[in-house]
Amino acid sequence: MKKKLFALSLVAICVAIVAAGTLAYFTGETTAHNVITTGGVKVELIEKTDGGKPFPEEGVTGVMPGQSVGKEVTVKNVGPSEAWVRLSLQVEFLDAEGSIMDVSDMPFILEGVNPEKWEGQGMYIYYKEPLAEGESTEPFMESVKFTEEMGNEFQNTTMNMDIQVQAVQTANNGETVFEAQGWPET
Amino acid sequence: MKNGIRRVSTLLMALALVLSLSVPAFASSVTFEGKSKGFALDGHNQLTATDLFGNFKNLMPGDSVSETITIQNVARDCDYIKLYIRAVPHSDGSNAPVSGRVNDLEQNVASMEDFLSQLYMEVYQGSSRIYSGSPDELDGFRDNVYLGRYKKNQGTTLTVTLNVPVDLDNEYSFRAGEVDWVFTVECYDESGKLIQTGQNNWPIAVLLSLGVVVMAAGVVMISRKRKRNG
Repeated sequence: MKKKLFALSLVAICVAIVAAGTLAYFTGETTAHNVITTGGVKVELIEKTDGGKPFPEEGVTGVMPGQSVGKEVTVKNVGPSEAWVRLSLQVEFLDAEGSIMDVSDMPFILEGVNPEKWEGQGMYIYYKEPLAEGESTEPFMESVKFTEEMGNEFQNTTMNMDIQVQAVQTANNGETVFEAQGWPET
Repeated sequence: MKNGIRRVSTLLMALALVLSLSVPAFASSVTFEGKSKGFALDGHNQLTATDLFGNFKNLMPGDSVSETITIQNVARDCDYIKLYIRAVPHSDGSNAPVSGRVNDLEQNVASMEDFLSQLYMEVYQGSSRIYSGSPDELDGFRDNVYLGRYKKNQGTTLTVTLNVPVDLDNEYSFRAGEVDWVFTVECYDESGKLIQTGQNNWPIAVLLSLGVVVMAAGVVMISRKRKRNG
């Protein structure tokens, strides 16, 4: 009998404790799914020939002394952030056998160069204004004019003009393009 | 009279001009509307329906940005609330990021957390700093942090600042991370009683009393039996 009573009392106390343990407040909650994103810099080199057509990938053939070949070069900011822009320009002539020629006096000039917007310093030509997202630069050049004095040594030669564009953020990165840091390493 | 009207109209025009030129300052808000309505979250520049970090988009190295989050209690069915905040960790399975942008840009949770670990975040409630660290670290924010007790139309403001290191590598451009925060309220009425959620209080007292009575009866019976035997 006493064991039964003891067990009954324990059960009653336990039930009471469990009842106390399950007593709940009203609570409500919500979750905020917060998102952090970084931007970046993305630019595109745009080369057009006469009439606004894309410059042909295979190049232009049959060029004669005194001839001008349309090559309008601009840079478009296709990323979400404003950017500083610079170009590098490398030119080489290959002879009929495909060997690099040693040319001391280049037989051409770049036409339509805009020195107010573009300025050469060291190995690069810098666009002096920040380029906002979606905007394009003023053309760096509009055409390549081969000189009348281009000698016979350039017969059956190939001229390669390699233009590369680089860009860095303007945010927290200098007041002018010349102060900007963090250009891609070449 | 005409001069007065002219002055007023000039003043209104000037005011309209000032208003049209002023840039709206956006702030995010969390509003507790009551037991039945729950919470309303309002952000700007949102990438999820509950994104409170509107200013933390398209960040660049060297950026230091802040976001103000106002939290308000407008519940009519609670006399006051106790408010808490905590952060929830992500995993690839049970709690994957819900943001489409995050899932598009990040291969997995580890990659996302690697990105978030590059940043430094502080959360202030008034002048009191309640969190500091990278947004992926939850230490100090893993458990509920008590933000205060608020009556109807009272609330608090959190200021979140985020710093992006100036030397952040190019590999962290065009990245995204999700930081999940849970806001919890407890509702109380003015008398201090808990609001009932289906469990009555009376069984505690009754069952405890019953237990004590039964034990007392047992003790009495045992002592009587001992007397009889002794």
